[in-house]
Amino acid sequence: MAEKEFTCFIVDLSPAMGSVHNARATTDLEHGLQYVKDLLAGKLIRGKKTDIVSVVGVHTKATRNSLSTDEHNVNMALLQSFTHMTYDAYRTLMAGEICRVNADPIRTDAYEANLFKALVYAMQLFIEATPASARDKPDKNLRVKRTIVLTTNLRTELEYDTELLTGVSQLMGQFNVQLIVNCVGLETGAVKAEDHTQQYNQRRWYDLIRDWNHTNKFEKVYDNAGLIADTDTLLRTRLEHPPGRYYKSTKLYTGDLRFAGNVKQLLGSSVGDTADSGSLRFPVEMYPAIRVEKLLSGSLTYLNRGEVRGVKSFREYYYEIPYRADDGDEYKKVPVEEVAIEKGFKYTTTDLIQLSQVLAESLKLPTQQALDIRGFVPQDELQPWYFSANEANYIVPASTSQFRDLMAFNAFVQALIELELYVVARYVQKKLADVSMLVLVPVVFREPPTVGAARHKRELSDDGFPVTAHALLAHRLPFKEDEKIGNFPALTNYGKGLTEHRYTDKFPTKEMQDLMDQYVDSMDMGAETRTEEAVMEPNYNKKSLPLPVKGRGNTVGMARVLREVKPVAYHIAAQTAVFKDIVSNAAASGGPIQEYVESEEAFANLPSSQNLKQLLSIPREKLANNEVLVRAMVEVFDIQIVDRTKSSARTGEGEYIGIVVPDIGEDE
Amino acid sequence: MSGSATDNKVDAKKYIIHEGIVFAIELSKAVHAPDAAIGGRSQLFELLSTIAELFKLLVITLPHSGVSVFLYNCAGVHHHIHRLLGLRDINGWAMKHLNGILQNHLTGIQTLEERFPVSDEPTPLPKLFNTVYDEFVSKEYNWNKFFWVTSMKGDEYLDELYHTPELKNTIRRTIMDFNNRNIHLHPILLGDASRWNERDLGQYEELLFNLPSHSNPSDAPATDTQDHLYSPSLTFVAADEIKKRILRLKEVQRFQFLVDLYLSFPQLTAMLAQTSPENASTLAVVSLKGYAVFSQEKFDRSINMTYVDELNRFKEVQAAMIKVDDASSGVPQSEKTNGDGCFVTTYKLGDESFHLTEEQKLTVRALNDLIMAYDVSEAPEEVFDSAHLQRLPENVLVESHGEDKTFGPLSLTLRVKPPFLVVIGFAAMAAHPRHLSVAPPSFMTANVSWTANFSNSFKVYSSLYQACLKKKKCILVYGVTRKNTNPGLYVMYPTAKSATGLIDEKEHGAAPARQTHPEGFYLIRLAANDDYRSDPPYLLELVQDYYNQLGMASPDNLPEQNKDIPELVKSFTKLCKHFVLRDGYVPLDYPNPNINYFMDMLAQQLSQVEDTKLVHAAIDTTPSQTLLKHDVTLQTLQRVHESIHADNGAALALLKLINSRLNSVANDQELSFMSNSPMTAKKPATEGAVTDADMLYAWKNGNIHYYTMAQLKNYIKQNEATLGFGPTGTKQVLIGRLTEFLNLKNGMD
Repeated sequence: MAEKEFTCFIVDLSPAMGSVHNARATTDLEHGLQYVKDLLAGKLIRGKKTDIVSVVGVHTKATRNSLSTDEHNVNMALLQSFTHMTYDAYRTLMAGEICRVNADPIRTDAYEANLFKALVYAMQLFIEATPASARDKPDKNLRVKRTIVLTTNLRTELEYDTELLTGVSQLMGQFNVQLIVNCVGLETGAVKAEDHTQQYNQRRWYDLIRDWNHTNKFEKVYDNAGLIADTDTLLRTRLEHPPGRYYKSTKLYTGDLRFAGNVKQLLGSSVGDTADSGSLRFPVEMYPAIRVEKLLSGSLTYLNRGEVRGVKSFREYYYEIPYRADDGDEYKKVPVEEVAIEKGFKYTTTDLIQLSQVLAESLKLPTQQALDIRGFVPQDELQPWYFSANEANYIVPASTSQFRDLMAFNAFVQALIELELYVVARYVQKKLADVSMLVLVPVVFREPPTVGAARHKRELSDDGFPVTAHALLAHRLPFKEDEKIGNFPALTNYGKGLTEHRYTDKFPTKEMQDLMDQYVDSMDMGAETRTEEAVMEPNYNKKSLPLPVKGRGNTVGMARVLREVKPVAYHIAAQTAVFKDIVSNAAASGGPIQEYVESEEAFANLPSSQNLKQLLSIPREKLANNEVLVRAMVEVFDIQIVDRTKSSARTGEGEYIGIVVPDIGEDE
Repeated sequence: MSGSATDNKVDAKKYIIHEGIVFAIELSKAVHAPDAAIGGRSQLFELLSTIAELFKLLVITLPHSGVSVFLYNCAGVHHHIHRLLGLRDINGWAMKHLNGILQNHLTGIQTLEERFPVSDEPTPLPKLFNTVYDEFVSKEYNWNKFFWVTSMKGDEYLDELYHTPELKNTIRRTIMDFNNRNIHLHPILLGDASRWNERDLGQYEELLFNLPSHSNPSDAPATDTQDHLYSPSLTFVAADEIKKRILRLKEVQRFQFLVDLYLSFPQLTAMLAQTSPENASTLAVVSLKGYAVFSQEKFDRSINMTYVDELNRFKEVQAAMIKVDDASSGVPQSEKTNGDGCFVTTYKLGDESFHLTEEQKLTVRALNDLIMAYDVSEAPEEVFDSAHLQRLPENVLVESHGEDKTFGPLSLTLRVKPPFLVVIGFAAMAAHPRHLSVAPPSFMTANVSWTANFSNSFKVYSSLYQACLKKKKCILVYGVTRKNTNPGLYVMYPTAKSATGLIDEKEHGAAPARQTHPEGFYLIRLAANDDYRSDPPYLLELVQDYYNQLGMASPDNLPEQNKDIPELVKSFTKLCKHFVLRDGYVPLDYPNPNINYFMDMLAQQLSQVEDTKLVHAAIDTTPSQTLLKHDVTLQTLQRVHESIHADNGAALALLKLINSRLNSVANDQELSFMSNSPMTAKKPATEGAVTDADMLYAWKNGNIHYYTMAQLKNYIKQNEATLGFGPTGTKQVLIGRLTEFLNLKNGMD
């Protein structure tokens, strides 16, 4: 079953939200809604039917909620009942007519609904959306993600009804609800809250959330039951730490990672010999670890006079025979029925062998599922360019592991980390599958702690990390046939055994080399050594919302460097941002997306491109220091733009007959 | 995505690498003589059998290659040049023919010496070169290699040739013809270098590679001097290295992309200043070429569709993809012929869909550009000189915004379109996170051809390489390598023997061929944060339970009394040290068993040789035996096992120790766990009435669910007044209520 996700957005529409603070051009409501808009657009783009949202307004003019009576919960309205996100719903919500500040003063009597009562109402909505049969089953409830995103500026006085809040807290625990308070102008670090009410409210929310985090029993699903964060922080987070796309982990392999077993006896089984004390076996499972993400992909359609229709494609089969036609065609196509086609193997350009079913079978090496250790290599001696696979997988202890197995696996991986060794292994995924050689990298799993994560049952280690798990990361190694190193010109004249004078003009002079050395030093990022262990911080399905990540101060080496430039590493998120902009701009224009896309101003001003520019500017400041050095380099090396007009004239004369370069296009 | 399917196919054909390789082997007494260094075989036999092996490899990797073999100084043939194999695509006949000759030699039917006797008179070199040239010219290969295998026994002749201007000029002309036809000369000098003095060698190199004479390097124009960078040098090959040397031929360079590496972020002023040569600027850029040197070979890639025609001939069937407008029934309309409409990419967002034209898609892609905005005051006056702008590389654009009538543009942006790479910084080679690679790496060389955007790239690249090697640094770069790809973070990693050490200068030249890599950087893409998948759902819980059982809160704070784990780790450490592969992992040692089996079996089919032994073997063996016989990787594993048991030494003892330690620890743990665990609590009886004490005991041990529904209902009915609820509801509900009640009563909430 697809995992359901319910999100209820509560928006504070009290008069204070209409005010403008911190020299912003927009009101607090508009500012706070940016985060809501971004989440909604994200959900719209992701397009999951199981991702369901609702919107509740507090201090609305109308009263429209199932909890209201004449004397209770007045001025609270369900602006959008639970639905999966559609463009229409998005546009309606964003039009500004619905989410609008109600300038009427807040009623001082108990009738008026407040944010806490809205929480109760949100719970009511969650309960209503849960099938009656599932309501009492905590296990089932845990599998559903429920989130409340509350947007406020904390400037409206709130009455803290302790009894009500205890009830809410219990319900939230029972139904596994996470609360995110999106605060406009929250006190962060040096920035003090301006207003007394705001300061007071802020403290109370902090207290509440801290209490909830302690009592929440369902940390298996959420590390933190509640989170309070400033809108600006949250907005920044969506680019810097965007949530990953969640994929269900597909098991790729179950069996033993074996060592030193008697191969002859073990053939045909992926399990080691338990009775053989001269061999080792670790029951493991394999899961995808790294897969290159693709951008939102469209489908091919046919557009005719404004009408878009689906496209079918089919294959047409033919063979060619030499033929001299008037128009210069050298081949004639002879069509072939699909049924008449059989498999063949083109051994050479002139030898074509028909592969019958029997022949094809007999050409297959009868491999059996297996994962065996061949030996170990020092990490520094395995050339980094041998990590040539597109995909990496995790090898982790099997879910059925006994105490003994876990102990063996952990000790083994620890020994590898200590010795800085990689494992070379032979792997066959299943019967008759291809053999591959793998390198297994010992890694440590670390769960990225989110801000506000409290100390739970799972104790944090000294540096603030939760418990880590050991695993191996498997990359495919190239076979003999895969390596195609050609002859390339030598870049140095080291070890030629010849005096240098022959090619002196070819290589850089000492002056050039000195400059380059200085340049390399000036750009040093300070990553001197490897981080002690390779740490994997996998995407967590828990983070379907962009939530800030706690900064880590003590990481060293390349990990730190990569973290510094991390923002640019989220390429999909950055490009999704473009689509978010399109949706958001289209909604603002009020028409369908297509209409907006065709309009002139479309694409003219996409805020996302600005964001990307900002991200890229990070290392640029550092580069400014090098200007003098770079200037000298350009001069000494005589780097000039090659005059294209001249060079194209050269080719025009046919002097250069080069190999034709294919434009390979989309990177697979 | 324009152009019909057939067009694409024609394009694809154009891009297939057709490599033509011609071997010209000099016959002499020496090449026929048995050589102890190669097991008593003659050099010629070694050469020809290696070429036969090359055939086998090319069939797998580059079936469109052609191979030709000439033997010169051969008696009894015209001009003493024997054309053993003409230049044709590799084919079964040629392979059979060559194997037949080798078989005859081995069986003594006709030895190579008998078959190819050495002539008394040498073949004139210009004649040989012309013959080879004609062979190339008559065929259309787009990449030509001429391997001239010579012992240069005719030193005197060559010497004479060098000093005879006419002959020298003839050779020069032929070499120039070679260059013009894109024929690359690779001389393989058999024997050792000691016979030669450097000066002579230099002279031959000059002649053969058409180098400008080093005495007056300033003669040649600046751009032309760069061409010789790609010329190979004269190298000597010892008899036992012939095989390695020739098999390396298959390693063809697959050219992937051209890219400019910006050593600094592009500055607008710099970019513009650079277009006028007088101005020094701050734009340091290297033009690079990327080559694919690792690609996974698969045999099913070459499985085609065939059709048997009426004359019982196999025909290779091709397929063309036809796209049809769904609504138009029946009539197939390809993209091209569909005049009215067009194909567009439609994106679906919820219930709404929209389509983008190719142009708009490019706009979205434009995010990949490197955009730098500048205040107009930064720009020099030449900005407005269109002549300068025209000289910018094609992928660099200057755009002006906010035109003002009197002052011109208000701001300018410099837009570097993909492909481009920008240096972010340098980090220690050892710090490179290898495990984060996500794609096969590309090998980068300096682009010194006419396609380069910037001059002197070779020198800059060479010094960058040397600086990185010296300082043991790799480069972190950001960018896009091809027009249509997503930007990403890359590491440029210099080729060196190890991450901790420089290539030893002396050792470098002499290192065995299998260990050396050409000098340069590998461009390795790092995984983006979007690319990580979540960990297996159960893992952390499983590990948590394990640590709990050990009494540990985390792997770092093991209880002091626990000596088992450190001991175990120590044993594993010792064990691993025993099995460190001496040479590391060298792909050459690991042929792909699947492909080789497939090819071997197919070759048998093709040659139609009814090898009775093989047939019998095939019948007699089980799949397991076949596997063991053909799978080299499996054999290595078996050797590991056998070596451990053969010497019955330390490794076996360690393995036994680890297993026994694991067993004893696991047993102890199991026992202590059992004694403390509620699991040992007696399970409630599933018959008879339940007393309060029973219920309390079961609750404490979490065993209420063992009671039957009837027992529970009875118990609740009896105690309804105390409990405050009746025996209605499902078993789950009843258990829930009972637990809740008992929790409350016993103050456990």
